[in-house]
Amino acid sequence: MKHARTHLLVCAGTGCVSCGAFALKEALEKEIVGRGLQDEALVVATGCNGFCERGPIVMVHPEGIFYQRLTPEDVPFLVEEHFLKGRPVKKFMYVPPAEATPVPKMADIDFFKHQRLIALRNRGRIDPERIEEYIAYDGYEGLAKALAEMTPEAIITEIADSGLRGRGGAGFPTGRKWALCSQEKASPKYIICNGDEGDPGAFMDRSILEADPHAVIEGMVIGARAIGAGKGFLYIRDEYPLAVQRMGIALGQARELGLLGTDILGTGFDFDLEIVRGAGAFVSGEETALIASIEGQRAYPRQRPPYPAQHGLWGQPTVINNVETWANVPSIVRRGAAWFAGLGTETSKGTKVFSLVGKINNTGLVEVPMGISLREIIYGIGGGIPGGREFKAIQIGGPSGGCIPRDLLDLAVDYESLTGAGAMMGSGGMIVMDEDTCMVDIALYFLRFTQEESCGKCAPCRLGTRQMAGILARIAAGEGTDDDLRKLEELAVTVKQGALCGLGQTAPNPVLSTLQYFRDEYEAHIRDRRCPALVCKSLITYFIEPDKCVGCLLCLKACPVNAVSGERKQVHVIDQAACIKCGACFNVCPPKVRAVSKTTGEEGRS
Amino acid sequence: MTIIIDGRPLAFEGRPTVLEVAKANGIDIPSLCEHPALEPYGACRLCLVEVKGRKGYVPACTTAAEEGLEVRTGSEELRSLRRGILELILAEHPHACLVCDEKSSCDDYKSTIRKTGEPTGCVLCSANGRCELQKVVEAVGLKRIPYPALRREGEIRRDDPFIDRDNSLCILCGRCVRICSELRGASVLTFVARGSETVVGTAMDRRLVDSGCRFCGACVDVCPTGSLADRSARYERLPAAETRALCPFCGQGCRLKIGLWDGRIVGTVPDPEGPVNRGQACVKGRFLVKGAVSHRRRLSRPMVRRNGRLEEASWDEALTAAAEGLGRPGAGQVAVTGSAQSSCEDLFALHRFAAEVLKAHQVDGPWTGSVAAALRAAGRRAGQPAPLNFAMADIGLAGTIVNFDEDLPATQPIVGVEVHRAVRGGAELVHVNVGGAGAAAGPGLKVNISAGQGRGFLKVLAAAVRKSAGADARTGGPKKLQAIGLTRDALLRIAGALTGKKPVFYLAGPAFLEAFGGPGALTGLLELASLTGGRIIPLDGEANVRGALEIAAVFGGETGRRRKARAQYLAGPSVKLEPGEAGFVVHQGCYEDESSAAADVVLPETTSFETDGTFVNIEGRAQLSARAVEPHGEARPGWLILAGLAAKMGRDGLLPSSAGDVRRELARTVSAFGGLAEGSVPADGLFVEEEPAWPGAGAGKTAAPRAPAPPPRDPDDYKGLNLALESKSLRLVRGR
Repeated sequence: MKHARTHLLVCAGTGCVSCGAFALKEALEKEIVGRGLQDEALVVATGCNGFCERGPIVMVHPEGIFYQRLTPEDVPFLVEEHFLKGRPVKKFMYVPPAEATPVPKMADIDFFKHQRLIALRNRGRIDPERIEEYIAYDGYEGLAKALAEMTPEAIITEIADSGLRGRGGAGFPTGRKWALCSQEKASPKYIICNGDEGDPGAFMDRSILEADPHAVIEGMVIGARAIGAGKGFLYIRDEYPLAVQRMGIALGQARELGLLGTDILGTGFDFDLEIVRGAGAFVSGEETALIASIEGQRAYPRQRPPYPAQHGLWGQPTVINNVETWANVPSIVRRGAAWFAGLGTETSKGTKVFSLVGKINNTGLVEVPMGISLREIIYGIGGGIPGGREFKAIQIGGPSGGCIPRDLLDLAVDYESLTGAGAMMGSGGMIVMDEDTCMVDIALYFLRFTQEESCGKCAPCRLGTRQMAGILARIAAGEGTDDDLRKLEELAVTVKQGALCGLGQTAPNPVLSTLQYFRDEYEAHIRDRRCPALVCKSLITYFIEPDKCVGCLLCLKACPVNAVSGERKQVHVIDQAACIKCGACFNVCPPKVRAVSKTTGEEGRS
Repeated sequence: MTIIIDGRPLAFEGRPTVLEVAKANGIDIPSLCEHPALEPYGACRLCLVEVKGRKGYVPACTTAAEEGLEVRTGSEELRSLRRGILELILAEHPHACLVCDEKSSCDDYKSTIRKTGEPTGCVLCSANGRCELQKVVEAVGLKRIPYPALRREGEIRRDDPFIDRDNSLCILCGRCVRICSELRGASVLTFVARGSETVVGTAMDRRLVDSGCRFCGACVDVCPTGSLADRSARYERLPAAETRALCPFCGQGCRLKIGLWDGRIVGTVPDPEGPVNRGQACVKGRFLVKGAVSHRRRLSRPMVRRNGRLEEASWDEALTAAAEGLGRPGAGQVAVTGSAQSSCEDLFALHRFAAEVLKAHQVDGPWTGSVAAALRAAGRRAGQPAPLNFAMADIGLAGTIVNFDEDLPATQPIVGVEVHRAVRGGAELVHVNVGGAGAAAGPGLKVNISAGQGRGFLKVLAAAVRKSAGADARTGGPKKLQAIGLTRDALLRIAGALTGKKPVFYLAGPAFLEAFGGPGALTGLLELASLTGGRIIPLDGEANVRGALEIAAVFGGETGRRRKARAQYLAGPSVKLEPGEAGFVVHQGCYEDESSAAADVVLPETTSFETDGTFVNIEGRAQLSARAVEPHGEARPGWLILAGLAAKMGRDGLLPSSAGDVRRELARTVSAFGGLAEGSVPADGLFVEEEPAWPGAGAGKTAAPRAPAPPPRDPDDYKGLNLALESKSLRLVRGR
């Protein structure tokens, strides 16, 4: 491995890549060579740092200086100032919202300060395409320990004692799952990594696969040893090309070093892994559907029991765990169950990675200890709500999750309390919503999602989500009745209790939780024909206030359907019959004029 | 073991599901996607029950019964959940009639009007009366559907032979998709799209006939609604009565349920209790019986040639004319030809008539060129009788199967079902094709042997098997292998398969005889079979080849020698006769065909559906096919015609006066049928007795007969009626 005085760690997660990280890296390399610094400074592409809001990101090692939103044009100045003259450049540093002074070091930035990294421990600090860097940070030490010093039973006990639970959603204790499978007599057994992450707005698994593929591989080899499997599969959705590519490279390197394949580390243990690319069905994330997909079948879930641990891939005992779960395993084995169990709450140990998205300042990926409060995540790490708006709710757990309102901001984040509040851990998606979000609209969005992504096998899910989405659409259109709410609740129970797999059983959660916490909003839609958040198009009206309009023609020109009439310097009028409520007029009206208003309910209908 | 359902302790054995135990004990749990022939699925969610100690509700159809399991099937919450689910299902199915208060009056006042374009209610639906939704709605007790009616997208597909598909009636229970892949191994039907847009369709939305469908009809039979429908049934009433009969169209002996209305066949479906077919059939038995029985070319009255023209006559006139014509040439001058599609009774009567009245040397028939005959002869030559009997279900348990290019879905569909069952169970399948375009699609190891190299292939294969057992054997050099069309690698792989999983079955049908150069090739195959401890399954294509063979063995006429004759008696088969050569011709048959056109006397015979008759299938199982309908016109059973003819020729009393008595007579005369001495046949049939090993067998080895393979028989031929030529639909299915 090549060493240098300073390392420039360019974030090459998908978020930063889409902001031009590779162009930046190239510019940096060129500039450094141009300045004759090639023996002094080394440019390294790393996995995702999680602070995607601020990409492209460069971290300067060893000082820990954090540069953000860099462009290739910034490079000559940055290199000259920082690396030649030794003066870190303030203007490229991160300035917290509502503050004026930049924070130079990554470790001092609120977004990073409150995090606790286990699954993401190597993010932003190693090149995921070089196994040596992984090994340099204690990589494969857990595997060596597991193979050389531990019996399979001891590995399972270690995992069980750590309290690790499945990070894919349901939170089944991982140690118990492994124990169940290891007790099965049938052979061969299989190991599967579930990388079919499909929740809207969730990207923790992608980030782990991209930033630290060897952690997943190491975890799987340890798991294979524990249950006695000889073959494993990494099921990665094909929408993650970078993850597939990096995992492919990692597998090749691991095989080359004898960490995968036959006679691993000379212990006589044989195990190999294969990548299976998912074809893009949300339901494939359900473990039995995923198994069917690997088998080459349509991704239909099947009734459990029997569980995959007894009857899984090709009818053989199979352990299937989520990417994040596998990524936790090496650290647990290396540092011991007690260390891991020391983090988190009574029932939920360790850390959890969340993707923090929506109406929040610091969009990105965060890993926090279990038991942290929502408030700490949203305000401490996330930096609060942008634009001075008010927090309204946070949707946790993807389409199967629920919306948690402001009153519950101090809720501790663990499996039980989230489920108790009507949401669920899910795979860890967190969508923050401000007061401009309509909860009926949100429920409709998620129900349409589950309706489309329902596999179509069982009647309650296929048909129930369709009816629920239909009722929600009616309510959003201002055509709902009080009876619709009763029907929604009944349907939600039918789908929840009747559906075959987890997708259907949890699909009503967005409706149930919004009905629980925001029933008044539903009632406003139904009884007053009002959308309080001014979102539902059928219930809002755009209106030009005559005393404010200056007749600038801006809105008239912006209107795509010519619904605005008027002459220069004369008051404009919107033809309500022609208006399609796209909001173009509202958006173009200059802030100092603010003549276009958005209203809802009867007052806007005059 | 005992399970407790609704407080009742119920005993069970094996590994049934909770639903199966409940059904067996008369506890009704509504279900739509479950089917006894299919693996548990758990999609319709109507059979949800409560199980003590388990979270939520579980489907009874996927839950295995366990000792001491406590199940509740009917709590109020459960009933309301079931109602909720059924309401959802019905929201996407035309439901006005299903929940109509007045529906009973429709049965009284509305006759069938199923010719409507699109079913929008039960009275317009071809499944009315047999629809499982109707029963489930009744059981669950729905009164209204609280949702707007939604029509599932898609046109009604009427562009296929035999089967109409209407997605608007589909409830996506998946039975059709599952039976198509699980049981029939066709995988033609599949789910398309997902979520609420899911429909049952084919790849690329092509027609069934373009998707590899063989139209076995299994999907139609398992469809709980009218979504998949037998097109011809749209114009028929529901059967008023049902009876059972054997399908006479091939050698497997499938039992069919014959639906009757006013003494007429309105439809046929496979009998789930049929010992051979267990609820399965093929395109012929499922869709073509009705048309064959009431075909416009059926012979309904006797005819006599007068002044060069065939004219209708009374039975007495016709029999008198036939007796005169047959009596003239004198003893041994009449050639008699029978059909392997005739019942044992008819064939027995024919042989006795030929031997005792006409003094004919033999009765000719296709059984002489059958695989069974060739196998028996090969066994004799080898000095070790080759067993002909087998059990169809055993094929499904095979470890290794070698198929000599038989297109099973067309010629032996039930064998095909069993082969698929074996393959699903992990059996190795080897498909051997000789000189053709290549082996059929599907799973398995495929070998293409050069034309004319069949026997050479069997030889090197036997040598390779010997060698793998450690014996010193020569498999031939690379040149020889190349001539055969094999690589050494392929040879070793096949030999490995044959010496691998047991038991090994060799499926040899007419395609084998044709490709391997006649009956003599059975010797090589028999040697290979004995080396590998395998069995040869003779796949003859006609309904009663084995029965005909056993009867002919007693009367003589196994050998197929031909003599010049002055008159012909044709009982069944269609023979193209050269004018002037045939002399006086009597045709006893079901249909107008080439034989009847050349005949001097035509004697109309019943089909197998119109009379009692015994048939021995390829397994060696003798089954009774009972009369389902009255004979067509004045048609008579073959044995009765012959009894009348014998009487006219001065041998009154040659044959008994009832089918049962003929059977008893047969049992007395032909030892293979010894088990039928009582005249009755058990419901599951009775295996005929195998040929015993005879003393001194194999002492004087006889050379294999040089007889060429018989001309290939059309598997769609039934007593002179070619089903494929007659039915445009079957022609499409057969691709001709």
